[in-house]
Amino acid sequence: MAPASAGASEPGTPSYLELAERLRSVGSFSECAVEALRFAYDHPAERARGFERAALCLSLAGRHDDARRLMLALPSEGGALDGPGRLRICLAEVFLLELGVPACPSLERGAPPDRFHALDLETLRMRTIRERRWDDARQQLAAAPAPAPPDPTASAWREQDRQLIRRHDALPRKSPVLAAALSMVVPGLGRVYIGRWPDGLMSFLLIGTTAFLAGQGFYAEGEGSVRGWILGGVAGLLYAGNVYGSAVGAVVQRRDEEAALMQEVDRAYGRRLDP
Amino acid sequence: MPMGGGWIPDRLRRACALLGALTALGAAHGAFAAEPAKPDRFVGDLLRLGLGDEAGIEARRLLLENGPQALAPETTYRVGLALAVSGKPEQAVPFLEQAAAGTTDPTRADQIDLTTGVVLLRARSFPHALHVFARVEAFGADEATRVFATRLRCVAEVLAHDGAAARACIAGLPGGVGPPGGELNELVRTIEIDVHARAIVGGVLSAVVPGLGQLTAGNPGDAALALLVNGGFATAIYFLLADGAIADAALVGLGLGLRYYVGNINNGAEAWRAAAEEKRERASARLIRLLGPAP
Repeated sequence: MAPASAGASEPGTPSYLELAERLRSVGSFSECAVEALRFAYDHPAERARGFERAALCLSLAGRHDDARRLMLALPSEGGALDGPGRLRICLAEVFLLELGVPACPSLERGAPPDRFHALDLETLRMRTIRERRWDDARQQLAAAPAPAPPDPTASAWREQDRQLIRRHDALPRKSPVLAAALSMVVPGLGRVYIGRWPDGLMSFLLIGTTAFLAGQGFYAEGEGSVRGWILGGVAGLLYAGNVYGSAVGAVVQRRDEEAALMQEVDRAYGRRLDP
Repeated sequence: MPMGGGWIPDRLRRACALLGALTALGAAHGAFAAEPAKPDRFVGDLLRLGLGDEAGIEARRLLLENGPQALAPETTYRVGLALAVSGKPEQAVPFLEQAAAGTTDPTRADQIDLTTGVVLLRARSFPHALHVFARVEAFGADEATRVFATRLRCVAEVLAHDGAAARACIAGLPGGVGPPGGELNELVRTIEIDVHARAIVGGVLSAVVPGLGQLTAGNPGDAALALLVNGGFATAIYFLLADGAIADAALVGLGLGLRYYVGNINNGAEAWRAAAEEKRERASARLIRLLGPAP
């Protein structure tokens, strides 16, 4: 049985919008968008609602660009951009960092400010965090007035963003120079400093063994020892590589940890798509 | 028939441009007279909103539930093009084929068939594309369309890297289109290069003299580095053996040197493979250029 339209709904028969919600819950996002848009075109009075749900499905499919374009096309399709619609655009733009000029800050908002206005403002900070402008995000969070009207969702988003910023502040900040200097003094110590002690131990053993064998060659055969010079050369190369590797390791470690944090940010913001 | 190797972005751009040209041809022709029915309108709405995937879903549903008459050929064609442009050629082809089947104007149907062939080229489905082009070539409604189909078939043969078929196709083009005999033979020989065999040659060269494969493939910097590193290890091992330090020689050679030697062989093979593919792609591009613009 085809879902009923609003005008001719039978008791117990879901509308196309309900069908869209069911499709969304099972992860069929394209089909969800189709049904939500069918609802939108069947019900001109509720076109904005249908578009917003369709855009949500597109966003959940990772098609933020399509979601944004859909919502921006709403006025030309005969619908008015209401609070949820504006929020949908703002949320999509959180994930569209390549946009030169986001539309969210310049969208027309009615007075007095509603809860969607408060959430719109929160998305600006979310975008700043996704751009990795952590200091700016921290300042925005400190300067932001309390949500008006008070909104538990906005408050929860703020608290979560505070935690994310704190986690960013706690990321390891190991000095590449110090790591290299420690590895110069004791091979492998720089790697221990950045927390990779098995690598440090392996470097120490490898360089130590090679240098020991080289020294043994010189001791037994004097300055003309071929074995001493060759193994000494190898030990020198390994030593230089270890110093360089320790410095690079400090940089890479921070980069990897920040990348892991950004993945968590994306997951957290993905959960905010349907506030 | 070989299915072809590399598929460079230029090709994709060219295929898109060709798709665009064919679309413009279709629009100019205005062969689709039927007014879209109501179900069509929603598909049209989805297309207007730039949601090609969703338009495809809705169009498939309509066709499944109501049969081929549910959609006007123009709508079916637009859905097919939208899917093709959004990188889903396999889904686009059935819509394009249905649009061609539902069109009453034979010239327009031929144009849609040629569009289908180009979409199939994008999908690297060369035998299917060749079949489509050959069909238009044989049964096309007018001479200009048939000649265009022949050229597209030649392009498909070149892209499929089938040298003999490409030579025969180009030689059969009317009006002396295509390169002169000597250049044609050279280009066709080039597109038939066996990339895998070339890679083996490069690897063997680098195994005999470290860096030789890279050098002969045109990478002198990589060649010098490979020769320096492997030569250094070989010299060290020689002196250690001459000194009677067998264990140390084994440590340096097997523990460290072998890894660089094997890497050098891989690099030599990869350099020859890349050079062969580049040469083949250049020859394909040159051949396609020489086939001339569409009539």
